[in-house]
Amino acid sequence: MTIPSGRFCFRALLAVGLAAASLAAGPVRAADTAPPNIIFILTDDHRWDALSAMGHPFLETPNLDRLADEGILFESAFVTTSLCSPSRASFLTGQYAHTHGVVTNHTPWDNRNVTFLEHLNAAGYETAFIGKWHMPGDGLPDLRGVDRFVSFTREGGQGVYYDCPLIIDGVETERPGRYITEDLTDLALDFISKKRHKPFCLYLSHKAVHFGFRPPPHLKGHYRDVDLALPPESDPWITYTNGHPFVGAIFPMDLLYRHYCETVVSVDEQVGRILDALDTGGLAENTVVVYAGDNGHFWGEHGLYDKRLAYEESIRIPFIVRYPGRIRDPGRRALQMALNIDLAPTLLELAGLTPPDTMQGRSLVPVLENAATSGRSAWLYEHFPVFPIPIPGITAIRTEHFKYVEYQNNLRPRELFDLQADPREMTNLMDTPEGAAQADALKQELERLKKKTGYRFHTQG
Amino acid sequence: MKQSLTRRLLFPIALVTGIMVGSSLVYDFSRTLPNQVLHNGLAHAGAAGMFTTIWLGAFIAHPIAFFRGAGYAERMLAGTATAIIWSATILARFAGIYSPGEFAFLFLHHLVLGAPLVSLLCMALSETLCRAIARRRTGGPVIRVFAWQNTVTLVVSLALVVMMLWKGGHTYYYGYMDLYTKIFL
Repeated sequence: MTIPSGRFCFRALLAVGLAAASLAAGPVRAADTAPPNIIFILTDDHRWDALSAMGHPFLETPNLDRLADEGILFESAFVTTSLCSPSRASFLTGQYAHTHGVVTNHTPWDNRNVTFLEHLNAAGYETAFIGKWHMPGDGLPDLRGVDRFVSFTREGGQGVYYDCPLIIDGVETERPGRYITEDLTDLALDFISKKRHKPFCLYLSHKAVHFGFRPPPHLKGHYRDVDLALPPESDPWITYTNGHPFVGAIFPMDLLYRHYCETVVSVDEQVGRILDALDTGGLAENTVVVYAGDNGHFWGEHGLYDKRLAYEESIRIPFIVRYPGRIRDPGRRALQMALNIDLAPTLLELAGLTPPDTMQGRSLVPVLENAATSGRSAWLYEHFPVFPIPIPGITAIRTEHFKYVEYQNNLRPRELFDLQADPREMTNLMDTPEGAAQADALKQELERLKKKTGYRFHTQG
Repeated sequence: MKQSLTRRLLFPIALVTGIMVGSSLVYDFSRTLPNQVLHNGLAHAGAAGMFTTIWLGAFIAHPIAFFRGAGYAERMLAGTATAIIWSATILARFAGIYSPGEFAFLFLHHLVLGAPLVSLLCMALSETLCRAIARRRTGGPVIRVFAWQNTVTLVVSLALVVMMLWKGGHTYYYGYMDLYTKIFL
């Protein structure tokens, strides 16, 4: 009988320990390749077409356009809940709001939730969360798997554009004279440029471009004189009428939209700084950069302002992935439907890990690698009532062709839209014979998705 | 001289509320017009009518009630009725969405309380002006410009409006939502 050497025993113990730790964390590394660095940039209320790359009539976003040119822009990307906190939690966990529990901006984050940052950290990544957390709870959570945690709690976690105090690794720090998008980018660049021997993952989450839409000084008035080209059903008073004052933006809508666009430009500038830093540091080739918005925004479409509802302007987001080391056909526009819950499994797979079954999204890596990959055929949208906003709970199903929408207690009529014939969703087909027949099939599919994902209606919050 | 209930109370309320409803219909109708110039013109007109009647309607309804002999309680009602009706229509939007307790809590929201309170303040200001005019007309000290009931109304409504508008309404709103969280979540 051969007695194992002490060195062998140590290695065996180490291997067993690492395997146990990895399994406990969930994902398992699938490939033995150098894992990429990851930068996820999340903005607030940035809707899908507020990019020059998407044909916006006057917005100038050269850096986001560059990201799209060098990566893949998902033209059909959506959020499963069009509201800040639920959507953010979905990006982090890969789960629907009814699963992770942050169903509104008032329901607290459950720190038993596991984020992709925790998985990556357990797999050897150095991680940082920098920016907007904005999920209720007793201050900021003790977020597992995050080596550097910078956020803010001012204005209920919304933050403010100027002089926003930051909580840097637990220490409240005044930031006088600073503009928040630049300030957060400065901190992100510090993290990126740090010397290290392991891969990093940066979650950079901006306050911009949320209300109150305050651009930095050099961009104030940048779009003062442009023709806004707002939709024909829009007018400046929408923000004051039909329940919209409850979302808290009681200013003429055209004024808000000008400031919104100016604030988008400031985000673009800061994204440019990140891309430049990756180039300068020789990191671009092996760094995944993902840019997304947490939900869309109405600017007068359907006579609406804000978000939440299931119309395209509200649920559709910009979603761009750049990874020069793995994407073979940069500049492609992917038409497969992508969701916010897909981010976490996608990043884990790109890092060589197997996404855990608890994630309800699906990895987009096959789409990144092969344009011909088929996408999902349908998905569930959900919205829960958010006190004190006069919008009922919503469930909807969106396919490539149709959207079917139901409201809590039938407080509003059901809706069915043919997205290909009527992309602006102006004609509800529910009252037509062909629409009624289509709606039956979609309702069945909606019920199937609800059952599959464990949907449960939440009434409070 | 005290005129009939219809003339001193119902007429001023109906006048201002009628303009409010008409303005609201004009505003909603404007969105259906394909002609953008017409759309904007009607939207602006409708919005102006709504703003004037909902927030400042007391300056129209109250003087009519005052000079037609309405009592102080009637004058208060005349000055605030349109805003109360407007707030009721706002509350109706919430019917069936939230629990009865949450629905009741909405009554404290500044967008529900705001219009009636501002109207009350406007009514109190209008009352002061009307009293000054009436005093000048009668030429004597029979009418006191600062009657005690109206002075109390003026001070209380002003204090409440300032409280709700303090720091752009943020202080009140976040206090309101903190209270909501403590009670309901």
